Formats: sequence, C-alpha cells, structure tokens
Amino acid sequence: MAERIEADDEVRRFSSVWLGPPGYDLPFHIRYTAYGLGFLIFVVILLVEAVTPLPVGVPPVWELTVAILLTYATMLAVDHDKPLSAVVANVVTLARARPDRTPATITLRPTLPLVVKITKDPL
Amino acid sequence: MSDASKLRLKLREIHGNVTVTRTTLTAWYVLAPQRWSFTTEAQRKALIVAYATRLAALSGYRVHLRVTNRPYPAHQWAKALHDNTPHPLPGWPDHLVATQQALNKATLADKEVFLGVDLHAKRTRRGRTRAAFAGMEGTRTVLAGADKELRRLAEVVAGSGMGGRPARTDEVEWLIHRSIRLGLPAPLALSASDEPWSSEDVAAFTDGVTYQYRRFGPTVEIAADYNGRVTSRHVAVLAVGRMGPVTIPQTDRDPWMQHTDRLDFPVEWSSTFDVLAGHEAGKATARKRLHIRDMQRQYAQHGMEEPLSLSRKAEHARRIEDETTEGTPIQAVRCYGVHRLAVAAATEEECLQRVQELKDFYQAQQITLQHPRTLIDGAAQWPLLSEFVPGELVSTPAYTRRLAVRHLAAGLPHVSATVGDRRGPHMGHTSGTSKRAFMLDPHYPMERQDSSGLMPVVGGLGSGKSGLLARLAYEEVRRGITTTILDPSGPLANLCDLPELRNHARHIDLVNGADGVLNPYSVVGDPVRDNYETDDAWREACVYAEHDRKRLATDVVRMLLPAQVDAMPATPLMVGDAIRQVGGGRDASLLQVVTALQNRADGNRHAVDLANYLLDMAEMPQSRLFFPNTGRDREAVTDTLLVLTMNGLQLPAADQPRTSWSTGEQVAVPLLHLASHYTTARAYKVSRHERKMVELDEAGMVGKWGSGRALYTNLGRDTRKWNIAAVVASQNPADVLGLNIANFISTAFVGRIEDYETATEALRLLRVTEHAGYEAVIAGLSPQVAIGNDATKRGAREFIVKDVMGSVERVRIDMSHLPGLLDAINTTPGQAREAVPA
Repeated sequence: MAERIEADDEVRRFSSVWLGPPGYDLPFHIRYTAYGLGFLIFVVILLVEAVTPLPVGVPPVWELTVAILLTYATMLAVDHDKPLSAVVANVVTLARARPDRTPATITLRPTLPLVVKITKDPL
Repeated sequence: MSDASKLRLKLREIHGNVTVTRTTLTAWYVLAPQRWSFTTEAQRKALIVAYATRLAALSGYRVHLRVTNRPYPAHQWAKALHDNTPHPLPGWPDHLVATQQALNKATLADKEVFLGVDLHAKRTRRGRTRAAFAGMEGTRTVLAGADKELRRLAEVVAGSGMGGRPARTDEVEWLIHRSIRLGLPAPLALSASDEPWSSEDVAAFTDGVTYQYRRFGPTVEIAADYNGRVTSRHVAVLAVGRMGPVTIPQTDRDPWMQHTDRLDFPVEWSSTFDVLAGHEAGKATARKRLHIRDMQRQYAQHGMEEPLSLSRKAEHARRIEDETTEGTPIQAVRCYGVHRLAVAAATEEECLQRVQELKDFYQAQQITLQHPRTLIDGAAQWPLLSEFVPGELVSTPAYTRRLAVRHLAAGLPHVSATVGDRRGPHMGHTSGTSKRAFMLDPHYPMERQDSSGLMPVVGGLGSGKSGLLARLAYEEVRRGITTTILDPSGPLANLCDLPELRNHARHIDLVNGADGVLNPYSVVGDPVRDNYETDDAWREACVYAEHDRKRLATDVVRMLLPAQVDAMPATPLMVGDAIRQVGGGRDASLLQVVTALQNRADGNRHAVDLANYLLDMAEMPQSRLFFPNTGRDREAVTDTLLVLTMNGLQLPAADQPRTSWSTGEQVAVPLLHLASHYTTARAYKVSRHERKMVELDEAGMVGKWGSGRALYTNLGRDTRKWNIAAVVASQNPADVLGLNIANFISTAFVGRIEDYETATEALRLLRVTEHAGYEAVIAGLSPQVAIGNDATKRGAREFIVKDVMGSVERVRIDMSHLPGLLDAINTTPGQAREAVPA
C-alpha cells in the first residue's frame, strides 16, 4: 500500500495576518510580524533622533512614514522560507563583505604533506 | 568590484573519523551504496523504512549528509588488471593506456556519501574552553570519554539501510579537500598518515585556495594552485525550497537526493538537520496549529470565507501532531534542517546554465530549487558555500525544511549503481540511475566466487548482441586468453582482421571445411590425460566421451530423417541398435551407421528405409562435412582467437515446425549442433587451469535436442572446474531458460526485446520481478547510439546486466575508444572475406 507523505513545511505556508477588531474589517491585511517590526523600527528612529541633533517631529509623521517604508521593504523578503532573522542576517553578511583589491597571493607551502597532482579534470 | 577572501575554517583537528571545531566534535561515517535499479516495490519500501529507522535512532543529534564524488581511479584499476593478466598479447600496454584515457575522458565518478553526527560530548563546558579540554590532548580526553557514544553511533550507522562504517582519516581528509575545492580537480594522493591532524595541519587545507565573489554575484569563483598552475571554477549553491509530497514506495521516480546522479555533471549535496524526537517536533507544530486556529477564528468573526488551504493546513497540522505524539519513532521523528546543492563549471555562464538545468530537472519532481544571491533572497552564495565544509555552521536559517524522517529517508542519497567486479576489463558504464564504470572479468566468478561462469546474452535482432560478443572476446584475446567463437552468421570473423589480433587469430569457415570435419564421432574430443588427477577419473571421462558421441550421432541421424519418419515408434529403436553396433569410437562415422542399418540381421524393412533416407541426405553437398570420417587428426589450432563461421547456412526460423523445414534447413540444424560441439571441444584441449573463453551463438536452436542440452549442461558444469567463460547467445530468453542451466549462470545480458512476453522471460533470466513494469525498460533499451551528428550506427550498445553478486543494472557497452573494433563489427555481414578452409 503506497503511502503519501507531505512536508511538514506545508502547515507553515500561510501568513498570520490581523483582519481587524471584531466587527470591523481593516482595508489592509498585514502580518503580525510586520506590526512588530514596524514598531521596532519606529522606536529605533525615535531613539536615533533623540541622541542626534535631529528634531523629533510632533506628531512624528516622517518617522512613521520612514518606518512603514522600511518595514514594507523588509517584509517583501520575509516569507515562510525566509524568516525575518534570515533576512536581517543576510543584510549584515552582504554589508560586511569587504572589498579587497589585492587578492591573496596563491602559493602552496613546499612542506605540505599534500601531493596535489592533476590526473584528470573532472569537468 | 570583487571580494577575495581566504576561507578561515572552524575546523581545528581531525582524530580518526572525528573532526573537531572549537566547540563541536563530529563523527563521520561512509554510507554503503544501496541497490535501487530493478528492485521490487516491497524492496524499495523496505530500504526506505530501514534507512528511516537508522535516522530515527539518531534523534537528538545534529546530522550532516555530504554527497561528493571521487573520479574513477583508472590508474589503480589498470595496474590491478595488468597484474591479473599474466600472458597478454603484444600491444597490451598500449591498450591499457587507451582504455585509461577513455575512462578519464568519460568523467566516470564514484559517488561517496558521508554522514556526520555532532557528538553530545563537547570540547567546552558552559560555553567556556577549559584548560582540560584544550589542544590535542584535551580532545583525546574528550574522545576517550565519548567512547561509549561513538560505539553506539557506529552500531546505528552500520545497520541495514545505511550500511555505514566509520570514515578513515584519509577519507575525512578527502572530504575536506573536496569541500574546500568544490568542483576543482581532485588531488591524486593525500597524506598517507593516520596520525591526527592538528590546527597547523588543518591550515594546509586552505593554503593556495582563494574564493572570489561579487557582492550579489550568482557564483563564487574558487581558484587553487596545482603545482604552479592556477585552476579555477565557478560554483553556485542552490537551496532546496518547497517540496511536494513523496509516495512510498516510489515507483515512477528516483529517490529525490539521488536524482542528481542522472545529470551529466557532478552535483554535490550538503544537508544539515536536527533529528527531533516526536514530542519536540510536536511542540513546534502545536504552536503553528494555534496560529491556524487564530486565523480561522478571525475569518469566522469577520463573517469572511476562509481560504480553502487553511482548513487543509489545520487538518495536516492535526495529523502531524497525532503522528508526533502517538506514532512509532519512524512515524514521529522529524528532521528539521537545510539541504543545499552545489554545481560547478569552468565559466560563470556555463555554471548558470547548469543551475537552470538543475532547477528544471527538479521541478519535474515537484521540488523547487532556489538560487539565492540578493538581499531579497535571504541568503548569499558565499556563506552558503562554506556550509559544505565539515565543521562549518549553517549560515542562514533560510530554506529550512521540516520533514518527517521517512520523507528525508525517501531521498536515499546513497543509492547507486553497483554492477560488475571492478577488476576486469572496462566494458562500458551504467546508464540507468547513474553513470558509473562497468568492469567485467568473465573469470571472476570462477576465480574469486567459486561459482560457474556461464554468461547468456539474449536480445532481439539489432540489439547489439554481436557487438557485445565481439567486445567480450576482444578483451579476452588481448589478455592472451584462448578464445573460440562460433558465429554462424559470420560478422565476428572480422575480429581476425584487426591489426592488433591478426597474428594471433584464425578464421575457419566450417561450411568450406574438409570432408568429415564435423563428424559427430570426431567433434567430441578424447579427454587429455594431463587434465585428470587419476587414471580412474580419466577413464571415466573417456567413457562419458564415447557416450556423448553416441548420443550426438543419434540426434544427428534423427535430425536428418523426415519428421514423420522420426516420429514412428520403431525409428528410435532401429537407430539406437545401429549406433550401439557402431560404438562410440573416435574413428566411427555416420556411413557405418547407415551400413549397420542396412545389414541388420533380421533384414527389417524399416531399418533399410531409414538407411535409404540417410543416404539421400548424404548426397546433399554439405553432408560431406559430417558423413564420412576422414580418420586423420587435424592440426590443432594454436592461435589465441579462433572464429568459426558457417557461411550460407540456412537455419529454420525458431517457431517453424519441423515438418516444414526445407532440405537445406534439415542439413543446417545438425551442422549447427556439430559446430557447437566442435567449438567447445577446443576449450577442453587447453590445460584445465588456464583461462579460456567460448562464445556460442544460436543457442536456442541447439538446445532443442537432447545432445545440445547436454552440451550446455556439461559446459555450464565445467566452467568452474575448467575456468571456461562460456558466452551463450540467443534471440529468445526462453531458449536459454529451457537449457536448464540456471544454476550455472554467472552474468546475464539482456538487450532490447520489444515483445512483452519475451521480455518477461528475459526478466526471469535476470531474476527480476516480472510484470512490475520492467518489461518496458527492456523494450526501451537503445540498441545503438549515434555519436554526435554521425547518423550511422556507431557507438554503444545498451543491455541490462545481472552480475554474479545478483546486482542488476542498465549498462552501455562502450567501444568509442576502439574504433577498429567498432568498424570491424559494423561491416555488413556477408561481405567478401577470405576464409581459411578447415
């Protein structure tokens, strides 16, 4: 008897969104993660403004706009396969990749115990 | 702008099969190749379940799977074959070199599957390196403490389904080399030492290797120095994305991790996953189920219709929860982790082409492969590439797959094609699930397995039987092994014209032979005294030889009689009396049998009629070959290769009733019988322990008669004692099965057969389950493959082969490096050739 097995990932392949308070449908459906991320970015912007000479707007319209745009951009990358942590880590990795205009000299140490002989090219 | 960086390994030390990083010890094992081709559904399911059981036994561990490949060690093979070939013909070294070059060019690689398990034993406690755990000594202390754990792991991995063993240090070293130099030429030799590797030694792995990549580049360029010559490859890493369901047992698909073996270029796999016991996985799923419930509730509150998929997912989550909490380990255990593939090519363009090919290839298996490189993709190439190196961490949680252990097990990365003895001459390569070299020594079963060496070759017209017979014989002759071929239709006679064989080969056309050359009393030779240990054994053999002559003569006489006369009850009695009177001496003849019939004491009319019928047949031109006995011993042929042909012989069709045979056909059948005996007789003249080969075509026609069946039974039985590799070719597998030689079969070849019933019989010959869909495989074998734009029938022949170990695989006989041989057998049969009269 043949048995069919589905990947457990399938149960994760949906977005948890907030439809709005009971009785009222929001015109947009945003993932819970986005609310959290947006709030975090908003707070960070406020903090940055607080410690730098930048003026904090009241009401903070620009701050909110920037936070929404940044959140929107980030959430474009986040999905079931790429959690927020992966997307953030990737940004850090790519940002940290340092350009090096003088590639390291390629030499084999003569004392190496490895014998590297080319017998054939596998490709 | 490009970024260049040397890879800084996390790896610190290697102790035996254990690689050591600052915190983690990983034990590495090599998994044994498993059979997949031509197995039954039940066997496939059992394999998946066994493998899943082994994986499930590793729950609580983090496991690494690395699939890499090792170029076929052609030079080692050639040396071993040379050592096993004591008396080759002149020119043998050139032949070995040419074969090695062909092997190297064919990019035949052996797949190697490594399984790494991160030990619970750590080098650090509470995240801090203690002096007691530092350095080589520290590692030894930790390993000594982990002895029990290592033994348990070795036991688990050795179980059926994995068949693994701890990797040797040189194998771990090889894996690290391969991983760092992904896609680059393989180093020929590694350090031979079994000593542990320390941090300084480990640095040697990365010396001279440079990785170059652009920030959002689709590939990474790896360059390495090979004694002053810098070679580079572009490597792209793909991640396994969404996976469709799998069905167990799988009938129409390859295992998903083994699928890459079908591609023309090598693909490396790296999987790292945590094996989670059911309750751990259950917790994660339960949380997700709450999210689904929340969504369902929201939709209800808002009076909206929920997406259909949501209820399906809710149901699926419930099933998972049930499995993980209530199921047996094999149902409950989950593997959460990442699966990456790497593909390399000389240029970036070619590499990207391969990426696309790989993606399309897997799309057909309902698996989406991702090629991440930008911000939005959640991963970059360079960190992904480092994951392939033992000891490195998973660079990103992106593309984590959460699979039931059976789902992962259905991937079966260690399934491979295993056929042939790997010590004999190179015959071609497997062409089914993967491309591996196929070596076959026809004497291997007798010399190493203590079994028989009968090799049936069956296949329809144009299946490439002749090509295979030629190839088998060619390799034997070059190794200096006495080979005799009976090829009634004649194309194999061209072997004698090959420049490399010409001086050691003889072609005899039996139809133009001397009078009495095929006399039934002379084709069965006298046993040679030297081949028997005692006088008694030799005398016994002489008695059997006389008996065989009488039986053969009886059959020949009856073949010559019209079917209706043969069917009369008195006929066998009369013929039997006459044969008995003539005796089984080597100098007797059929003419004496005729005389005996004529001169019966009772003057029986029927006997006289029989004698008259025989005299009628004796008037046929070809009867001169077997009616008289010229009484002189012919000069023994000492050439290594002897090809016997029967030009112009009209054999009746296999299904043609005897009553409708023409007179020509009636003479042809005994001629073929006698020629088969004549051919095998030569093998018995050579010293018993010396290797020899006999190839007989048209076995089906001969096997229909008692003496013919006896010939094959004796031959089959004697293959082991006399070290005879006997190749028996027929168009119909039923004929071979009818010979009752199943016990003597070592290797069987089946070529293209289109008829379903005939193909079913071929499967019986191969001992493969019938009616399981493999008949279509036999019908789909390609007879001859055109190379490039060459529309003529050249190249390789495809067969299904069962070897002496019972492995069954689809193979392609490769002759592209032997153009002379290819030309010789592609010559239209019947074209004018000078044949030496016997």
